[in-house]
Amino acid sequence: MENNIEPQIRQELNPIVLQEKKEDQGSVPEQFFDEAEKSIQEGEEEFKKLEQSEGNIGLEDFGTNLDLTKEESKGVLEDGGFTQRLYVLNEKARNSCRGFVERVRKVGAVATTALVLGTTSPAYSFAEEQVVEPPSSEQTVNEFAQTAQVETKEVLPSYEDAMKTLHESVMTDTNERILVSLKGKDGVWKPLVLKEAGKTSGSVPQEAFDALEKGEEIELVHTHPLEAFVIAGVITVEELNGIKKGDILSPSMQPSEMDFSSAITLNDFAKKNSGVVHERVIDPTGEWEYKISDEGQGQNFLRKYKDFFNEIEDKRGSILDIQEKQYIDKVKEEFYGDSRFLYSVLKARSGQGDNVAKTILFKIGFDRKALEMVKSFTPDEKIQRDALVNYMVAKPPKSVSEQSVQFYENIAQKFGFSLTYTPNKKAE
Amino acid sequence: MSITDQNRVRKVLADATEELVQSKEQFQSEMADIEKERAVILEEARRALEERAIKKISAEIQNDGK
Repeated sequence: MENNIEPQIRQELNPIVLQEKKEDQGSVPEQFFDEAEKSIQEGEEEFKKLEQSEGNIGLEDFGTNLDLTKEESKGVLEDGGFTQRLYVLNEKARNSCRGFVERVRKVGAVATTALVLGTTSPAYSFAEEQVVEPPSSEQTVNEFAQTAQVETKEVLPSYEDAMKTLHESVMTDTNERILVSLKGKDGVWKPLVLKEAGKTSGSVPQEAFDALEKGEEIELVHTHPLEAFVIAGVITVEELNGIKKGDILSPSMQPSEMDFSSAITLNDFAKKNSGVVHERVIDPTGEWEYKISDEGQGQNFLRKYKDFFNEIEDKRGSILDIQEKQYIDKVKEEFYGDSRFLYSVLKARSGQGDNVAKTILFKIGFDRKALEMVKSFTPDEKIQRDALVNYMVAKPPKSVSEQSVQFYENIAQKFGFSLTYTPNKKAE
Repeated sequence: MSITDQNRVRKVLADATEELVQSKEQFQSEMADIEKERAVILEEARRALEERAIKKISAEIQNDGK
């Protein structure tokens, strides 16, 4: 299937995504996680060795070789304070091992939660700006809040017209758009809702859940507009202008980890209600269809993320006081009601010394739970995590190539998703 | 629905990698200091055991001479 719009796809030879990534990037995800795992193992083994050693090991044998009895050697070592000094030293070494393992685990948890937090970053950046420079950033925050919260229901066009609008909008819109369509008994798609969302995100419309609850078959299509590529750090403003003028090609912007996460929620909900859901992302170069590739363990890593968020969200209501709840309401009001944004803001503000944000994170045990989550990963889940991180940090080539599409399709399989790319049809 | 901020994810990974390297260096340095200290204690303990052994032999020689 090919789309009708977009003159920009010209097949060019591009470097493989991974090669480009290694040149541009300071650290490779697998190397980091492998190194962290290895370090934890080394620290734990060292700790075990110290636990098993008596501290004065070897000294009694030394005494025996000098024709001292065990008791005599023991007496010398105890009376001279050597046993005590070695015990204290061993304790120091054990603490050092414990501290090291704990530090590495925390670093791993930070890197892992980075997949959740700040990956959709406007809120995070604005939060930092707001703390540092309140007057100017407040304006930015309000501007963002206004655009993020706009949900414009339009008079619904036909499915074909709606899709045409979405394809056109990726080149011109600032915000994402979301189209939910319902499959009629005649097999024809009918738009149910077409709405505008945030600059880099939008929640799934309630209409989608309502239809699935009735066991309907729905399709959810959303856009990744070109302007969001700048926010995402994929292109510069100069490149944006060049792409708009048609001087240079647009890179692709495949589904994000949040799209996959959201697909799990929708898929689970659909399954529970005997509904069916299809999902696609439209970017300036074409369409990406994404779906859960199996019903097995493939998405376990992403599911753990969701559980992590569900758990802290559940806890939040019962343990925070009124002031802290009001603080959260205010943040959510400012930064679009998504949990990731909320915790991104809290983490950013906490890092800037905001005590309320710090207290909230402490009370809900955010860091501790993140650590627990990281500790609980099975080897398969670690492979899924590495694949997802690679998917996220891979820098899209300057224009879409067969290689880059294959890279994304292959790597998505590793964390349990099937991804299919359809380029826009070349302009005649 | 969202777009991933790749720069930020990369930065977090780069920072985490740097922190990991620093942690490892700190750990290795702590353990090296501990080992140095252990070597000193062991040396002193061996000397004490040798002194005790010498005293024991001296006492035995004295006893044999009597």
